[in-house]
Amino acid sequence: MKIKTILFTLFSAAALHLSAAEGLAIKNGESVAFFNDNVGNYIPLIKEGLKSIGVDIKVIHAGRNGQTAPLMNARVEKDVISKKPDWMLLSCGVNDIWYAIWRKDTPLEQYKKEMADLLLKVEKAGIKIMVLTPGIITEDPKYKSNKRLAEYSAWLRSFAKERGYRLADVNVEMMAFITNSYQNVKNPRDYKNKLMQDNGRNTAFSGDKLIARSILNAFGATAEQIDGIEKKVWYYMPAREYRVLFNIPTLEAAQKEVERRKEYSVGKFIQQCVVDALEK
Amino acid sequence: MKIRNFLSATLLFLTAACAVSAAELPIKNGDSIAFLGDSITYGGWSNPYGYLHLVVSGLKDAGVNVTPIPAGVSGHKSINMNGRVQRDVIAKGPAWMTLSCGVNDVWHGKRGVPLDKFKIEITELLDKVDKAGIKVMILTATMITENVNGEFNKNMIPYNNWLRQIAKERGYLLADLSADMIKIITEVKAKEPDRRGYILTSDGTHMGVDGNKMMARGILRAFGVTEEQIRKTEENTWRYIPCKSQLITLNTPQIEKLEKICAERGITPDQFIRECVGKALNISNTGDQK
Repeated sequence: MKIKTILFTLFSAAALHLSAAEGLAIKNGESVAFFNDNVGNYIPLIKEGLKSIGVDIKVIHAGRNGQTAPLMNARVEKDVISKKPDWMLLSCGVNDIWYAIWRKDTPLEQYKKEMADLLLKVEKAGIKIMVLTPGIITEDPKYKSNKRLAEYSAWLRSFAKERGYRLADVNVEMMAFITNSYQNVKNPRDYKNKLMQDNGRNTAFSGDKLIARSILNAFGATAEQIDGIEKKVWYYMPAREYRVLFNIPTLEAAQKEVERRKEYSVGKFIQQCVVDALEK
Repeated sequence: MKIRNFLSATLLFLTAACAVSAAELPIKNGDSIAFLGDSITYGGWSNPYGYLHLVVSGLKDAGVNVTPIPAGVSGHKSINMNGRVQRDVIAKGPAWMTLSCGVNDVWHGKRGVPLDKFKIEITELLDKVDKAGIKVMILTATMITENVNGEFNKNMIPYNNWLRQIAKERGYLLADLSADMIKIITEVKAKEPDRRGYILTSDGTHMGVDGNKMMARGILRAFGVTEEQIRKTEENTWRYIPCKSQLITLNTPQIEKLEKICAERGITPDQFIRECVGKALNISNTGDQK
């Protein structure tokens, strides 16, 4: 009787997974090269989210922080094509516009040339492609760089359409979000659900979730599935890092305690103290 | 008899007050200090272990309560500081001003400020401050890279020599932080030739925890605080200032709980996190106690 129940539960769970995964373009066991110009904090959200609906993917981290179109084009052979993934998710553009003293920005014409070249090489290698339009720079919709980013995105969108790639239109969705927020709160610092960290450039957890939702949607997941993932999976995933300063006596005492217990590092011990206090 | 008692009691009281040594310092209870400078001074205020905080707590331990007026702006050179001294210092009416300038004048090379121009700008700046009746302490400019014989540090020498000279000429207090820093770096490197990483700074120029202590020590010394008193402050006060970071990663329900607690109690997440750890370890002073 009990075994029957267990078997039934297992079977129905599997069936649920099967039906859940059926409409998706990405299949169980496929490998995905994440080729992004940023840290890619959303990658674990995709991995765990898909896993929860029965699609276990193999992640290939090909992203590197601070990269531009010419740099990514130069290394696509080595870091993506030679790894023979089933999919490539490409995200590039923010650094092509973001000013930094140590690099040149990429004019639109050059960006088009490099990106088209990169994408056609990947296409030729038989790798399935999803293109992400670049995010935003600061949460001010009127910021000059955001206007430029929209132009770069527009080209990328039309190129993806022309070539039949899947498209996660992150730029449009983020712009819509901040434009909407901006109507209610004039100062981005007062936003409740900030998409970006205070530096205006790296995504905060809300931004990571927005990107992950957009990617899942582009893979063909339904809104209902994505809501379920957000509620059941992402809610319990690491969402924010707190960098906190401690004084020497505290750290010395923590070190002693760690040595006495012979099991933790000071960092893990401190993490555990906070989690215990919050969950009691 | 009674009067005699009273007198001797008063005498005792006075002697005790002198022992705190506050009476001997040129800076008085209730004075304010404007700290004019560049990114090093900015960091001296934005970091909880920055030198402005250390100077204030060091003076407090010596019996003098002062109010800091932070006036550090990143990237600023003599010409910028001269431009804003009226607004950022004089208008605030401090009793004292410390001046930390020269690093960017040298570091920025061609876009920097040559020595002749530096002298003109700083002289003008100091004239304005003198005229306003604000007392001055000059800090010599600290190192650019921790390489004592590096190009930048060689170029810095005449700037600092001139700063020492004008301090002497005008009778200002002088905290020779350049000399202090070179001495410490040279000693540490001689003692530990294999040592990796920065000694006083976080990037070769901006001060880390020990660099800020070095600056505060120099300033307190220049104010006349004794070595013994500074040592006591280091042991009893500075040691309890949070200065080393640890990463804590939380999920959404934990963050929601944390934010709720902080809102209810009117404290910051950092304070709550330090308190949790302090409680688990039976530490009463985690750096937030007044």
